Amino acid sequence: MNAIPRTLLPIAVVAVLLGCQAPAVDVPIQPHASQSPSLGEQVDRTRAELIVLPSADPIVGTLGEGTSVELVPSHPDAFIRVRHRMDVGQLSQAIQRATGGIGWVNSGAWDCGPAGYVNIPCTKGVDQFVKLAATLGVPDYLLSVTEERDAGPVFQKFLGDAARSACTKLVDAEVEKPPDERVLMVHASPEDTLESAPLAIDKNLSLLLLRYHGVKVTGPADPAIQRWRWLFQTIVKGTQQPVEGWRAVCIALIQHPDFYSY
Amino acid sequence: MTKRRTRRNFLMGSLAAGGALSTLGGLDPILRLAQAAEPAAGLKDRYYIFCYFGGGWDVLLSLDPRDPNQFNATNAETTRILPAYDLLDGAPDPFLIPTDYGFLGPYLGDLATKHADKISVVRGMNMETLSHDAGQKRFTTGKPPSGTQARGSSAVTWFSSLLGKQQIIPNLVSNSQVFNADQPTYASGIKVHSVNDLLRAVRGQDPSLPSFMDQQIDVLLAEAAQCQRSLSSPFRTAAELSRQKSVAMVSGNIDSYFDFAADTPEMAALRDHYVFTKNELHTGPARAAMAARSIISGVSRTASVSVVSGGLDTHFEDWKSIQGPRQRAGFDAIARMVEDLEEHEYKDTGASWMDHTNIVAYSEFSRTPLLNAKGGRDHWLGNAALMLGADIQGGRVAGASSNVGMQPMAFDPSTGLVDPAGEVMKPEHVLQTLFEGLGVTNDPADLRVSPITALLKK
Repeated sequence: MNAIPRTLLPIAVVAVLLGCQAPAVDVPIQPHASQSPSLGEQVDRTRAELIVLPSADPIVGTLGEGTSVELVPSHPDAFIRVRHRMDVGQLSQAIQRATGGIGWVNSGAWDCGPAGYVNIPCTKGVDQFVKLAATLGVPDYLLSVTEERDAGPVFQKFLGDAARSACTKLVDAEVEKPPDERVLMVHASPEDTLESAPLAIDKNLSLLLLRYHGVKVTGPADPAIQRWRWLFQTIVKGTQQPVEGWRAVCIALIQHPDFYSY
Repeated sequence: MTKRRTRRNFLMGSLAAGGALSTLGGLDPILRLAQAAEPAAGLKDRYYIFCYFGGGWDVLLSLDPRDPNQFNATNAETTRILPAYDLLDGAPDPFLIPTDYGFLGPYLGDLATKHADKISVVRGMNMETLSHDAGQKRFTTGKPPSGTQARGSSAVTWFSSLLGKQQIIPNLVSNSQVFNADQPTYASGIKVHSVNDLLRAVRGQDPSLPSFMDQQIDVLLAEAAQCQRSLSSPFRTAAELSRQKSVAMVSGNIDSYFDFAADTPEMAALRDHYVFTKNELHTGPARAAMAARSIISGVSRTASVSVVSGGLDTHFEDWKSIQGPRQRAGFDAIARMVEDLEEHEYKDTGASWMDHTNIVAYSEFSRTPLLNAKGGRDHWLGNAALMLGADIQGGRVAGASSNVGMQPMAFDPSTGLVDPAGEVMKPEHVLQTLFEGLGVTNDPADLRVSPITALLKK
């Protein structure tokens, strides 16, 4: 296993150099090293520093006949919408929907959560979002009445746990299912790779991006699909198992802010 | 006898386990971290624990009692104060505990009987709200909230910002409210409901993946966060920083400090000392232990925990049965915390962790000095608080509530005495006192009040 990350070294360098462009899939793979954003370098930014203000000049309008006035600023950055994290109920339902009903559930009897935690659906087994509701900021409507919806470190940890749990179960289940019953490997079979069926892989990744993130991929050259193709390919090369590639893609899709925020 | 044996077991277990861990190198990363976390120039090396009594405590039973011989049913119409101690289930008799600085209520528990010389009491505080939610925000930030939105950052967030950049979890929060309005992301409160949830948050991913897969997923998410679309979004940027923080929390190997259900001599002694079982990790005593351990281990700079199991919002007959015992359990948990901090040496200096830690006990408001028609007490604007620790001169009282209706009375912060020309005590006085003790005198949190210098050590 130690040899694998070393073979992957150059690709991460390329990934960083390319910024948002995903590296080409035939480039050797490396583990991310020091090029990723350093927490130590960034954590001391204040929130104010993180806000990028639009650089467009103020629009000056004058009243009078024949004077045209722009009603909206021309600079698109002025319309960056403030994103919000899903609440816990929405997130639980979103993961269930995306994974064909699996969700983040331990085996067991039907569970509807403690009284007071609303908007979280009943599930078969213990829904871990219900179990962790208080820690994840769901109000108890006694001492707190508003849900805390920051995507903080504890939320991120449990989101990672949820993604790993749901996606592992989903992949295990889909290997046994016929194609028309799958929700993850819809257009690609569990044996397909980028070498054997590139169009099927791209078609499946496009479907997942639309399903998980609402991103419509325009074609194989669309930058939106490249990093996901890269992830799939590097995992397949490292493990020799295409289903592990789909598992990683599923987990990363759920951990990506486009999934849990709107 | 049981108590003595328990305490000895606790200390011996802690020493043995600490020695073993040190020998094995188990404490090394955290101790190195604690050693490295030196405060900025001019600031003292301080740690803070805020203990929340949720629901609104009845200060007549603990911090601000009245002599039942002077305040009773015969004159309640005049005084507007009815202690009604005789109605309480199992109330001690005599009720009041005398100290050098006046009477304390018996439900202060071991803090009144064993540590009275270490605590200081703040009385006659005006909370300016009768809402649970607003009261919490009011106390922790020192500012009235705007609707349901906190205005400003909590004091612990300020302290974490000033002192806690190197800590793995600078600002640990359990069952209380903490806000970050204007401080760096690293100072934000990391909130957990119970010790178990904290343990899950700092343990490895469950289920685990091969490290290679974790790395590749991490590469993709980190790279995606470098897109212009992500960099221009404060939400996305903060989310990615938090994701990286969660990875750091897991890789810090700090879970052993909080595995209170473990079958080890150290954890058995800890449970014995704080008086909780393996199945009571969501209770006040367990959270108190979590707070103390987070400080002693160097994991946190501040800890804000609810030390009460269940609430104190006793509007009905439950005032007679649960208000006192729940308060006492909370104050006893603080007493255990004090003993725990005192018994652990601070960074090989010969001093204890208690010599570097300030503790504040608070509630969102108090309860009416008169009983309501249902035998309980409703919300009351007046309040009290308790302070002790590194910067606090024990055995003092600052401020006072009036003997008619327990109204807040103006006081002189430099003497602590009632002064009609002085200031009305508010939560920000308590917070400003902590800032002053730390060495921060330019009021960065914009509290706009004087510190209670009468309570500060010289």
